[in-house]
Amino acid sequence: MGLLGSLRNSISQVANTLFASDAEPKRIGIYGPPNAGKTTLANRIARDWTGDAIGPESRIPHETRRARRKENVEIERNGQTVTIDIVDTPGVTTKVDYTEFLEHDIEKDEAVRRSREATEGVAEAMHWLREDVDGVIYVLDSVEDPFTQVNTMLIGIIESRDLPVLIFANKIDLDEAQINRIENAFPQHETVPLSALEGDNMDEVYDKIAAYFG
Amino acid sequence: MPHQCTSCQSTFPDGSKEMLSGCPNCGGNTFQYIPEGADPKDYEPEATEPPEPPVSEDSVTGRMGRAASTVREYVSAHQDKGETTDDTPSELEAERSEQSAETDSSEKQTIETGSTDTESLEDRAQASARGEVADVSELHSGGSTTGTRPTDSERQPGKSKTDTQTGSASSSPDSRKPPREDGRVAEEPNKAANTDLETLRSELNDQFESIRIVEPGQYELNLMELYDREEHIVALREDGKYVIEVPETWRDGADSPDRS
Repeated sequence: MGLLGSLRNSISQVANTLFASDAEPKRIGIYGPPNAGKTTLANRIARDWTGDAIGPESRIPHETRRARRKENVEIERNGQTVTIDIVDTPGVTTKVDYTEFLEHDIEKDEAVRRSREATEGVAEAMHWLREDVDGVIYVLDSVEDPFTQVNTMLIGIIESRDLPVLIFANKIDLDEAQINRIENAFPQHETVPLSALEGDNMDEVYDKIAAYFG
Repeated sequence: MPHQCTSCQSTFPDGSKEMLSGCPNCGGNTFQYIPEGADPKDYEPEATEPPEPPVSEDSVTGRMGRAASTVREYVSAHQDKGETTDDTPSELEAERSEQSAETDSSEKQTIETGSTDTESLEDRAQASARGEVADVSELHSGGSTTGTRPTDSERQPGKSKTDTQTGSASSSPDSRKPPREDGRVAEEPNKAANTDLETLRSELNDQFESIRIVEPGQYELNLMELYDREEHIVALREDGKYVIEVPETWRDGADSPDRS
């Protein structure tokens, strides 16, 4: 009986190893509120490891209004390669108002269209979270207050799905950045400070990605 | 002598303190005000317009107490017969229109949930309560009577499922809370309303929009609702319609005949 049991264990270990190597890359969703720097981060990761960008970056909120995916991003860490699919998602919010775009010198018709697309984008992001994501990088602007309804709700949903999650405290190059505030807001999760724009602390970012999602 | 006890007709001067804790002669707690110079005969119980009993002309306590006792009588009669005789008097319509908005709404909700047995039960109770005179002694037992009504209805083997559900739903709060000693059973219809409201609320929650269009270009999003949806909203239209992408499993069902 003991012999059979150990034999079975050995077989399953071998099978796991085989399947693991052939397994699909994990899909990592980059989530967060609008203007946190999600696309900047996605582009930084994609450029660093594939040479391509994922999408246009902008200071205007809701620039990303459709989820974009970069497949087979191979990240090398400590002699090992971790392959992931990166999904850059539209910023999640509970209210979208076209007047927000008017402040950025956008005509009303265009602002209304952007607003509608941004709303569709949020719906899409929430759908991805439900259906198609194996892990989450939650990006926050270190300058902004992290204690918001959207952040709490999204982190709650992610936790309820038992998805691995990393909190990225972005924009640490700015003087007003407060990393501690984010660490205190979500003490149950690992917070990694970075500046996706400047490329600050990206080594730690990749270490954590490999450790959490590899 | 502007204040007159409606039970024993004792009168008390304006500002009298002795009536503050009830009529010292009969213990009644309902008084009517007779202006100075008016003929007290005009205010005698017989002269009051509706066929309300003199005991508690405008007292909800009395009315509901009678309703409760009538319900009890109805239920026990129902038990004896073992079947409902669904004779709806035409005056019920008029009675219904007289009821307060709150009672009205609770009734509507009952209708919406399809509880026809309960409806006719309440209608009869209301009609009898207004038309019949009950003993004062019955008023005090009203609260406890109502408390036991659902249990009675549960015991009936011939009761319809809806009625049993309504009964058991209102009996659970009753069992937690002792009946009020003052005979007030005003909660009785409200309990039914609360049950129905809960059902309604959960229905509304189910139907709550994922995306509310405040005006073109302004949207409010229910993130939990968006997350919970199986279908995926891919496009919005300003007329409030969505274009959705249905899950694979739905398509599988539709496609299955073609495959086979």
